[in-house]
Amino acid sequence: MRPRHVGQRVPRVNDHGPLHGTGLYVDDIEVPGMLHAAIVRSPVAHGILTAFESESVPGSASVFGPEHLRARVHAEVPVLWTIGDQQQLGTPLVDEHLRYVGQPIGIAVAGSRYQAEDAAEAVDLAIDYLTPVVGIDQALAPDAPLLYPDSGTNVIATFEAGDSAEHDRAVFAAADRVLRTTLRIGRVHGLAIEPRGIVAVPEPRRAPGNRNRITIYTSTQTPHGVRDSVCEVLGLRQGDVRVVAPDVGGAFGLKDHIYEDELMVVIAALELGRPVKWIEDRFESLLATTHARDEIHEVEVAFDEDGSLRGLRVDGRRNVGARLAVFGGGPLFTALGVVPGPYRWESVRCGGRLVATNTMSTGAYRGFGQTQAALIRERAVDLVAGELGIDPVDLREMNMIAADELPYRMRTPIQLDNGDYRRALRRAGELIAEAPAPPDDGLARGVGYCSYVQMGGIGPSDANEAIGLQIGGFESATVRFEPDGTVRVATGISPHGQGLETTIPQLVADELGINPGTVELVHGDTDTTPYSAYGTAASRSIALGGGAAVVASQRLADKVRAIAAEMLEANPADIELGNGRATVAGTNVDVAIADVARRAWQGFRLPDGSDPGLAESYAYEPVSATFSYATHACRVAVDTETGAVSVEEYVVVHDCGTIVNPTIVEGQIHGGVAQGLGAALMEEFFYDEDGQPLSSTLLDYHVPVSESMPDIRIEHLQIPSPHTPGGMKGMGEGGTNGSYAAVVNAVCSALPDADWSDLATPLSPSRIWQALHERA
Amino acid sequence: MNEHTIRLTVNGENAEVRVEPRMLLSDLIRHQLGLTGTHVGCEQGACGACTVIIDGRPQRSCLVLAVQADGTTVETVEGVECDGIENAVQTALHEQHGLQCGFCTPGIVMSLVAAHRAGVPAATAREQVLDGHLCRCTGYVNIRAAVDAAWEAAGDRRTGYRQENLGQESHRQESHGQESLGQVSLGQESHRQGGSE
Amino acid sequence: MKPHPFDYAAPEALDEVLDLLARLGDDAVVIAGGQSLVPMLNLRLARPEMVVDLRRIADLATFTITDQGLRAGAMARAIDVEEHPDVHLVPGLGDALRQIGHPQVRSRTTIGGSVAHADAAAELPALLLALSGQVVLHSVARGERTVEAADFFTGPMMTVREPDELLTSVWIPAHPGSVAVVEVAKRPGDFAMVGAVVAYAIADGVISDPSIVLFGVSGQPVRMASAEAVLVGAVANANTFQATVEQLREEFGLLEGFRDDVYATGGYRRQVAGTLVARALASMS
Repeated sequence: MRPRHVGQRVPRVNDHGPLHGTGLYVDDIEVPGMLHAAIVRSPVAHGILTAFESESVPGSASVFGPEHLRARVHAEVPVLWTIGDQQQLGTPLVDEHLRYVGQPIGIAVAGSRYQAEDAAEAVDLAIDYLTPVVGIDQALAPDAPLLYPDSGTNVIATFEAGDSAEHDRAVFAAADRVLRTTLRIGRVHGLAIEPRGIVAVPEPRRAPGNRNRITIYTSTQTPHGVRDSVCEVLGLRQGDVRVVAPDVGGAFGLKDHIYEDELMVVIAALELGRPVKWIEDRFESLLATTHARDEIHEVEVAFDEDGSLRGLRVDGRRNVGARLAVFGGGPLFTALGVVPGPYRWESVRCGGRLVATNTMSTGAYRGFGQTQAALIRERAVDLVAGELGIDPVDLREMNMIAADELPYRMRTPIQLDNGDYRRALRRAGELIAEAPAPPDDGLARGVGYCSYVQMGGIGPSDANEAIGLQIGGFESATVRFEPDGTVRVATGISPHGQGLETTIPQLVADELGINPGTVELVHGDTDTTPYSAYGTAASRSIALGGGAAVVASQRLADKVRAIAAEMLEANPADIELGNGRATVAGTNVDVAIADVARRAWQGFRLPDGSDPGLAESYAYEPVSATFSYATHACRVAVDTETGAVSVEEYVVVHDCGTIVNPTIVEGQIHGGVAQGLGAALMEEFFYDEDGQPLSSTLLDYHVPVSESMPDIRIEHLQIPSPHTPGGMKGMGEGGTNGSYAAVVNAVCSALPDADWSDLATPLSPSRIWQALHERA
Repeated sequence: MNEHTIRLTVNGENAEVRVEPRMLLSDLIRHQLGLTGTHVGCEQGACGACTVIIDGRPQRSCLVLAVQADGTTVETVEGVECDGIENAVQTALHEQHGLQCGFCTPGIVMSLVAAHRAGVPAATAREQVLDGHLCRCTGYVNIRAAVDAAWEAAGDRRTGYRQENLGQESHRQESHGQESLGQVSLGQESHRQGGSE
Repeated sequence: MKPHPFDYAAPEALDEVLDLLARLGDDAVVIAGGQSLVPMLNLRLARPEMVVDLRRIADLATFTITDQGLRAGAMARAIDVEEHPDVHLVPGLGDALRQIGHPQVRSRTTIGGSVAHADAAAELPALLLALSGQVVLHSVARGERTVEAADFFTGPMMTVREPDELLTSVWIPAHPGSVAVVEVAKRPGDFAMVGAVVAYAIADGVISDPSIVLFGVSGQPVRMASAEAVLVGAVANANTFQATVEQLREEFGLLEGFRDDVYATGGYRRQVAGTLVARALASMS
């Protein structure tokens, strides 16, 4: 039996750079002759820019204002998802209608970042002020100022999901009881520790009339996606643009598309014929990198006295900000698609509205709506359990889809694949019950649960098209033996912390019978990697990018066997690959796979039907989305006099199919839990009533610190996906989706006498105190 | 703009550079000295990614003007591989999977190295020292595990160091704060010298 | 963001600093540890013509701790005081220092800088006020003057220091009894949403030298005199403490500018301030 590398805790291969200072992040890139940019941004939430004057700017700097920039624009920045009756299909690169503080309206370029900021600051703006609208309710008021006056409304789109109104009414009418609640999901910021950044390097000019190639180094999740947008907006030929993602310091959805300010850098570099670097600072990042969530949900749940869940009704409104982000209303659409979760319902009916306000766009962030979906559903389930006095684990279990009922079509109507949801629930309940008893310290304690299914591995492409998503769902890989027997795997996915540089080689090594140390992942460069619309996002990379690598490797292994069989005078079906050698089964007759590789590239005496060389490419079109799942359970301690919360015990029981590397899976869960916990307890981005951002520093936007985070006990179930090659389901977002609702439920459970009928997250000390003492 | 000439020691090498007064030490280190292992995450003193060791103390290089660093000894992540704890911290972060995207990591390495040299016990490093750093990938769980592993591997210096140092401190009271520039080596014995830089 | 351009001087003598301040007034800003100033420079909120650095003036970096109190030069660093073996001689000092930011910040933060910056939610100004400390100011025009803490703070980041004056030292007297520094912050190291410094001694079985200061609740640290009065001469027991907190809550009603913001409502701050004081009183008895 050859050693299997999948499932092993193989140490990460790319830790050395950050640990020793030899990483290469985008701000580490220096190019001779490089200039530095600063962005001119709208200081107001709503207004019309009537003049952009750069007379006061020192002559050593160059400034490009709206007119100059617009002259280089070929098309609008696309919105890649069309939902419901949405009319906005793109947004202009520059727009004199200023709709949020931080909106980029020009770019200054100088010899240093310091000078560029001086120049940007010296630009004189004349603005006619308009009344801003900031919150959802304000934007929906009858006499609200309009961001897009021609449309006559601030509603960008409406849509429905799930059952018909008639069916919904019938189920609700037949149920014994109905409960209602309002959930206000605070605006958060994904907050990668590395802000965005870009270095645009035009090649020296060719002869007049020839095109100039440009290389763009950028901190992105999706190099191919960036290239698509650059070429579309600026009218460039795809072969003339190379996009490289160097080391990327976290992304979490924020870096899944190009931004207007980044396109301005590309324009400046092309105009000046010089390399231009722009590194977003934290102030800009908080103002003008996509925010997330900011939703209000009116939730109704219908149930019977015996605890049977019957109907779920959700009216969701999402503040999409001033303009649709690249994936538009996708997060709300996704939330309402997965909201039924792991339970049987007779009816699920959802309505969604996307609402424009004078704030930064809300876009993709780890979970992509599924975090909110978990809160909507799990809060409703806990309300029912509380109302009926049934243990929340028991209520969940009696309504939960059993293993033998899978595959199961949710009412929205997405199909769940496989697994044992009840086992995860029961085990999480056991583990949290085993946690050390709390001290008798006068704090209020509560246990909260969240059971969820996590849609990952989204596809196939035709399904994307059917829901209005304008990118395909496949992933590709090219696996190539080099003549020396080492392997390079070129992939369209673009890791930035997920450890795919370690895990994809584990998958490939097992298929090829070699050591993962001889396999290297090639990624993050449009010149050397196959196309991927997503890059690394949406819990897709190991399931689909890994799946593509597995199939390509299997095909490559067939070719290795064929050539080895020729060399060993055996039947290809009898060749086994392992430990770097191709062996005739049951014998000691073997040959090093490296020797097979050399022969393949020499082309000497290859078997009939084998082309020279040793490489295979495969584009994997998924059969359907994958669903990892889990139950999270935690215990919190609440100081009822100050509202302070600490999360003291945390357990996760989950299934993400085949686990390639448990250490890396656990790390993903830890980080995801922290982000959900932050949203539950402390993270919120605030604007004042004039639309001025209040959370413009990291002292004002509060992300968890080490003391905020408990240790986490994790147990893995491993039920391989029935669809993906390798059986992986994808799990990068799961931690976030579970912890947000689990922590909220735990706080609510600790304080049963508080008024939670209108629950706003984060549950800050002040909000908890109000729910306990002012509203209850 | 007036430029100032400053002299400082960075990773054991003497540097003499001309800087504008407004230049931040983080930018000097990264862009003039080319030591890009130190990362900048906020320039607001909040994230900790830019933490370097100045005269034995971990400090935010984004909250220090380069001119203020005249005469100091600075260590960055590129230069900390000279004795046991540096290696122990880096090895433990690797083995415990204490980093993912790696952007916050250099600052954490520097804080932990400084803390261990100063005799800070593992529990304090896990809590107070780590709270000075924001990590968005790991949820801190494995970083805390790495602290324990590193302290275990390198030995907890607390007992010996504290006693020895307390003895020194008690009769150094009056001289506290006298200039000690140039005398400050980076060893454990001398880090508390001087209330000034 | 990067700072707006400025000139820089690091004089070796105090007189040179005072001359610069006399000449430039508001156009100059003094940098000590820089942990509050540099963020403001980086955000271009502070745009001085000149930054005057105190780092070369050795005398300003000295501090002494005795059983009488802490005398700290303007450049004495928080971490050096915090780690000093005699820090316990000034009750409350170590607790206050440990709640300032994080160790990586305290390694530059100075006692004088924190007091001069006068953030309403900061620990040291509150401690100074609670312990009836003093601030020493120097200028060419007025020479040396000593200002009582009670007179020093005038509003959010505002003090009686004139633009040409330098805060050269701070005196924090040792309280004869116990001092508690308690706060509720969003996270460890953050500025307080609500904080309190509470002190009292017990002599002959009754309370003396009481002091109650709240911080983070309004534009400056505030001393709660009528609540303190309840404690004077009283026996340290639950009844006394309850009466003190009731008086404190009455006194709240007279405070102006109670903070009510997105992070915590005014009602929350009022109530929790009382809770913190009650807990501090109980913990010290």
